[in-house]
Amino acid sequence: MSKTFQLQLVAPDSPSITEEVTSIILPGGDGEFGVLAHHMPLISTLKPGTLEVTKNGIKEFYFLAGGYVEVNPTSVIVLAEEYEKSEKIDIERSQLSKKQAEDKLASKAEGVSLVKEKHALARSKARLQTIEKARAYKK
Amino acid sequence: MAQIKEIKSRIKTVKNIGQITKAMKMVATARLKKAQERILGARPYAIRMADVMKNLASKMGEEVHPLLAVRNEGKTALIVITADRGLCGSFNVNIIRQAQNYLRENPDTVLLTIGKKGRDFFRRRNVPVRKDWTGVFPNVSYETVLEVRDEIETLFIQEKFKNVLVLFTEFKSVIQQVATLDTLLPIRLENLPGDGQTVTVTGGDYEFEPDLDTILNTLVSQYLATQIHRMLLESFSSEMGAKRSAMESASKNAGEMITRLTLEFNRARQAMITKELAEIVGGAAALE
Repeated sequence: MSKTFQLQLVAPDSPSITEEVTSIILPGGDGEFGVLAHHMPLISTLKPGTLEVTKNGIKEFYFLAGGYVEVNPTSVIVLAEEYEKSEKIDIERSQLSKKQAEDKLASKAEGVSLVKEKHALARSKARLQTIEKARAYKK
Repeated sequence: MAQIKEIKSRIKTVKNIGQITKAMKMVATARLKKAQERILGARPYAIRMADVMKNLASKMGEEVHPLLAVRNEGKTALIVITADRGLCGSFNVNIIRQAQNYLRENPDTVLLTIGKKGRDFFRRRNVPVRKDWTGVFPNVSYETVLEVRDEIETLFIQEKFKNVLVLFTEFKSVIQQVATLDTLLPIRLENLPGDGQTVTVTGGDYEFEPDLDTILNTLVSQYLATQIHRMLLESFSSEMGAKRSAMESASKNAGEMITRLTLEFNRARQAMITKELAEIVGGAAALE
């Protein structure tokens, strides 16, 4: 029985990635969970967070902006609203958008959509967290 | 003399226009390429999503999700996707003409527009437009897509519309774009696209987290968003394709016009020289 499985990462605005991996950790809607080969079939929602991929003993980190995952024994399909590899994340922009979202939420001004801003805040937090995780791993 | 000056300035004008159309053509070509890449990127997402939904299909009856509800009565909403700008040949005209035909046959339709051209056209004719979006192109951000989705979800679920149709330009190739009428809602599971790659091995054995209903709820409206996204991208690619062709023929026409005007200019100059010579010869003859 092979110990690897196929990971397919797709998003509407980015090219899709298909890789042979040994394990992944996903930001599930009800908390993080890990997947190895021969996992039982599962469909779960994803919240903004970090996708941790182990491939040939090396870890890679991706930012995910929420979506779905379909797990099958030999393949995993991640349907993300958006994804970015840790190296490609713009730290300054993430920090800026985090601050903007926080300010807007704090201002409680008219016309501020709470849902939208909370979502933006969660996304920028997830981006920053992804960078931190990638940095911690490299050390 | 006056005629020569006039022709000269016309040649200059046409040359300038030719340069502008040539530049616009190049911009359109570049944007088209980018938009096509985005369509290709979005396609696997839509297909995978349809696969996941198909895998769930056995679990959902048509009454499970409000966006799948088939109604026999109620109003129809029509979303017309045009460009924000002109100078793209018959692109906007084709779409608007089809929309007009549809509205003539179905006068009760509620109209929504995406793109400035469509909105302005119907506004000028005092056709009520329920909601319009402009400035969507060329970026087509996912946020706009979500806005459009929320609006039509409200129409369909809360106001009990019978269906939501979209009139947009499908991108067949760089030279061929077809105005297409598509049904966006209700979503019919049997019409879902797919590449047949994923076989539904384990139809009923999925585990769900958090639970089936929550997943279905979000998944179906997410699917709707990807559909809208696709249509906007297709429309934009078509616009750029049409613009490219239009600008190409405009540049060609400018070239032809320059050739013609240059010929005219040379003739006028020659005529003037001849005339002057004749005058000199005539003058000399009179002196003798």
